[in-house]
Amino acid sequence: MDFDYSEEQKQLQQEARRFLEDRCPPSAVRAVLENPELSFDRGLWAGLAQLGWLGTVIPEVHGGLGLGYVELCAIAEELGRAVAPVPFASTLYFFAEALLLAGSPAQQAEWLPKIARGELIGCFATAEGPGRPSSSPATVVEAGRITGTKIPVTDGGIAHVAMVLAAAAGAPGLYLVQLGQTAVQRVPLSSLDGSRGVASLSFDGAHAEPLGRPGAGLHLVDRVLQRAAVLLAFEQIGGADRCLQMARDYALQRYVFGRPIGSFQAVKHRLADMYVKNELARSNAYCAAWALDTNAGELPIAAASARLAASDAFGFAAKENIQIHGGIGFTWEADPHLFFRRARQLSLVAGAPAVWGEQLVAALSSRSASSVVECGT
Amino acid sequence: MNFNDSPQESIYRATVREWLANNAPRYTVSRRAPEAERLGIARAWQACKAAAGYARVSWPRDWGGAGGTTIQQMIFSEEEASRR
Repeated sequence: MDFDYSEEQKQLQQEARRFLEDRCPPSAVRAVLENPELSFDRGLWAGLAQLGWLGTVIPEVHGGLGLGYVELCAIAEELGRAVAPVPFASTLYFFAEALLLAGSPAQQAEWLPKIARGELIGCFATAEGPGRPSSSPATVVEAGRITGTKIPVTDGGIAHVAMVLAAAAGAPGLYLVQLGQTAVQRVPLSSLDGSRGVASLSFDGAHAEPLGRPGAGLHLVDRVLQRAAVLLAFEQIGGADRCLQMARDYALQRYVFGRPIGSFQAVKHRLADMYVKNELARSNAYCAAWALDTNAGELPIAAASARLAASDAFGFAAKENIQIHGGIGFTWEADPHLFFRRARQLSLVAGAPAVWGEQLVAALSSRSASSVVECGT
Repeated sequence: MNFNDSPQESIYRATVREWLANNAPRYTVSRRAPEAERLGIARAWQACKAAAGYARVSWPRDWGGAGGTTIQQMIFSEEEASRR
């Protein structure tokens, strides 16, 4: 057993951390948050493409680095730590994963190299309002033309192409829809985390190309969500770790009654609770990274556990970080709210914790029925 | 990252599992038994583990442990817990 990143993976992570400290300080996140028309940090996106990180798990024949998922997880952790305002998750964890899982060789050859070069932003449009993706979506495809509305779609306002869940002849399937068509209307929506854009997408007979077998859409969506859950968990543990760091630094620097607030037991307890949740989330995330990288049978359980623990840890750390910063923590000028916004965004983007709780219970029940081995045995 | 046992770890796990199968059943007690009885059995089980070096796998031998690794400790704890 080896519960750690390898030396090469640690180096990659260090490199990502240095790059993001330099290129994505809180002021860069704030610039996007305060100027909605920017939508995302184009310079940072180009930098990530230059380093090859947009092609981390894309095979070398398609212009990627051909590395494994643990490497992508290491980068995700750093993007989360920096609350990077880029469409990394939409493009890579959702759009590219669906292509890698179900795209035809021609579709992969067409889209993957553009993703790796940073020329293509993708998004994943499954929702039609609150709730889980429906097995009978109101969005329909007839004779290669798609009609309907998807809402909300993360990065829907800036993506070049969307992966859309739609029904054809009553069966749900995933469809590739280029968003530059005149039959596509996008409306930006306001959301809690303005550093990550959300939009609604309306299709009125736009051209749509099927991805994977017709009728297999919902199963494919579940598989993509499972894989995205692991990668998002790493963004969440990165963000949670940064919150703990910020809170700790502030607790040592802020004096009241002639002593640092970190010397008060009530503050220490909060920091300790953050640490415990973070470590639990990290352990779950590492197990899920391994399961994702090796396609282990434990992936459904590991992904749901990682998602739940990471959503809990980042949500808690982001909230407590505001509290430990006291009055200043509530101001626009202080940074804690950047993390609180992102914590909310990340915990909802691939299904809320309650949904993952149900999935975990379902996966555990089916394991005890078939007695598959668990992580680490 | 690898959450599977290495070959040596699976050998250790098999050894532990066999030892537990040979020894643990003698120390079972009903949860409804009187506390004094449960405590007596728990002490006897602890002594049995101590005699075999399993009371604390990862402690040095000089201190009554088995001088094992943290992973071995974890494997023992996992196997012991799975017998409950």
